[in-house]
Amino acid sequence: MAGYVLIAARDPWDGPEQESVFELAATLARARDSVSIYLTENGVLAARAGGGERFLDPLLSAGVSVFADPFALAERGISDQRIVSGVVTAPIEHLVDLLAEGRSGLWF
Amino acid sequence: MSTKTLTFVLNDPPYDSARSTTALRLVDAALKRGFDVNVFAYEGAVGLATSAQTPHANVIHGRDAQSEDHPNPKDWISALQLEARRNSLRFDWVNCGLCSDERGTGEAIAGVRRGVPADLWAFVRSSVNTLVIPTR
Repeated sequence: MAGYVLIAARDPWDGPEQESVFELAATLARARDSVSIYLTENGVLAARAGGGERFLDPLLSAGVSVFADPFALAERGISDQRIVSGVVTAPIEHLVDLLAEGRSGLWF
Repeated sequence: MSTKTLTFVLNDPPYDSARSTTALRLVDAALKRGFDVNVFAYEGAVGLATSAQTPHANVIHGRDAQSEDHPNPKDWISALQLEARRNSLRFDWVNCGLCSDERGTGEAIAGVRRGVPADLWAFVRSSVNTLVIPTR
């Protein structure tokens, strides 16, 4: 099983339904699947330190790999020095690499 | 199935959301990684490659068309086609024919072809992976 890559592209504070990507990641991780989340567009707002921990800390603790698009971070003025501990900045080429591994990709 | 091909399915129209731009960034990244790339454009995404897109001036800001430098996605797609050719990679873009007819956007730039869902099926069958980028 190649696992999953979930692409979170929406502001997680834009309503409860936007948290479904994190809920799915947690469920898959509990099922011992290999799960990565790639934050892009407004999804990188979840990576802001001092706020995003509520979404990402449980996933990081469960072994989910969380990546953030530096292009989207820069567009929104979020320094990579001020992101949630454990989140790794990775250019969009890294998302291509995850897809090339055969991971099932789901865009939220 | 080719381990060297990725397929992307786009749905959003141009000038509407960041998803179309991100999708083209992904295509660019895949080409830079040496992958052949297929794109199947559904619904409003058939407008991304419309040949009639025209840069415009911005009268409110006092800029003519040249200084406004308004980006048109057809030009970005052309640039991706050129990048693929330079690197001897295959870049196949198919617009859903019915979607184009509905919207009257049948005239696309060179290298973009009209297709049917069976083309998407063939893309998926020939790719190591397929990513659907949906509308909201």
